Amino acid sequence: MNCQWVQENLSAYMDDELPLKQKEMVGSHLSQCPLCKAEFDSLSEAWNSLSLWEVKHPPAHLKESIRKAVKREKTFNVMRILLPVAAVFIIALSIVFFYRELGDHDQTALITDQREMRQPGTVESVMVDDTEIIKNLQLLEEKDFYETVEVLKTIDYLPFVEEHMDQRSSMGYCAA
Amino acid sequence: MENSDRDISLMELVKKGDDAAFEELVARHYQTVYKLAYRFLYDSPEAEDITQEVFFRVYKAAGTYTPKAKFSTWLYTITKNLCFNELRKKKSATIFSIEDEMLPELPSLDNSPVSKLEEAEVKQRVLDAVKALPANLRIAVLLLKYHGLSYEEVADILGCTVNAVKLRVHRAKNFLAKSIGHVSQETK
Repeated sequence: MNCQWVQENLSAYMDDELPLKQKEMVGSHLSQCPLCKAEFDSLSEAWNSLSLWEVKHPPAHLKESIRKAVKREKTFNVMRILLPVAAVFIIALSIVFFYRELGDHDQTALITDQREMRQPGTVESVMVDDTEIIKNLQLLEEKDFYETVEVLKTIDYLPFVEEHMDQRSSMGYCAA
Repeated sequence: MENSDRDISLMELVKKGDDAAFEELVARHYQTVYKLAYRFLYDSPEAEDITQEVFFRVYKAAGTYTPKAKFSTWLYTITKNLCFNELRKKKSATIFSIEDEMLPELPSLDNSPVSKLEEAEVKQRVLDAVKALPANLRIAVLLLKYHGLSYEEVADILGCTVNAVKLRVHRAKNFLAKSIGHVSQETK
C-alpha cells in the first residue's frame, strides 16, 4: 500500500466512508507511516475546527413568516379558481340579459308595427258574402222607411194634386 | 416511527390539505434549512428568505409529492438549488459557474510570533476558509460536517456520484487544512 493511495483516501477514512477492509488497511498504514500520520492529523484538526463555527438559531418570527406565506398561497389558489368562474358567470348573465332585451325590443317593434297597420282610414280588403250585402240593403231600406214615417207624423196637412179633364192640375190641402 | 417515516406520513397528510401536518413539518426542519442557507450565503435576511421559499415550494409541491427518497434529502436539494440561484444572482456580473471547482490561492497569513490566537480569530479564519471554497465544494462540506449526511446522501442532493463527492471533500479538506491547519497548531 503506497502513501499516495492512503493520502487520497484519508478524507473518506476520516468520514468512515471506506469499506471495512480498506479502512483497516489505512489504519494499519497510519500506525507505521509518520508522513501520512502527520497529513491525517492536519486534516483532522482543520475539519474539527469547523465545529467552532456555531450558527445562531433562526429568528423567532421565521416560522410565522412561513405560515403567512403559505396562507397567502392558499388564498391565491382559491381566488385563482373563483375569479374565472365568476367571470364566466357574469359573461353568461350579460349574454342572457342582452338577448332578453333584444327579444323584448323586437316584440315591442312588432306590436307597434301591427298597430300602425290598423290606423283609421286604412282600408282593409275584406271578403264579403252576397247574402250579407242583401241583408244590409234591406236593413237600410227599413231604416229609410221608418225615418220617413217619423217625418210624416209631424205633418198636419198633406198636399194633394187634382188632375182635370182638360189636363190642368191644381193643388189643395186636406187634413192628414 | 423513524424520523424519515414520520416526515413522509406528514407529507401525505399535507397532500390531503392538513395544515397542522404542514406546520409540524416546518417546526421539525426550518432550523436545519435556515442554518444550511446561512452558512452557505453568510447572510441572515437572505437565509430567512431562502427558508421561507423552501417551505413555500414544499407546500406547493405537496399535491404531487411521491416519497422516492428521504424527505430531508428532498428538502436539502431544494435548499441547495435556491442557494445556488442566489449565488448566481450575486455574481451575475461576472462569468460565473457553480460547477467551477478551482480553489483560490491561499491568503498570506501573518507569520509573526503569536503565543496564542484568540478563538474569535480562529473562528474568523474558519469562516473565511469555508467562504473561499467554490460553491460545489462548500455545499458538500456543509452537508457533511454540519448536517451529518453520508457521501451517498450528499451525492443524491448534488446530483453526482459518490466518487465525485469523495474527491470534492478530499480537495476541500486539503484546502481547509492549509488555511486553518497551522492556526490550530499555533493555538496548541
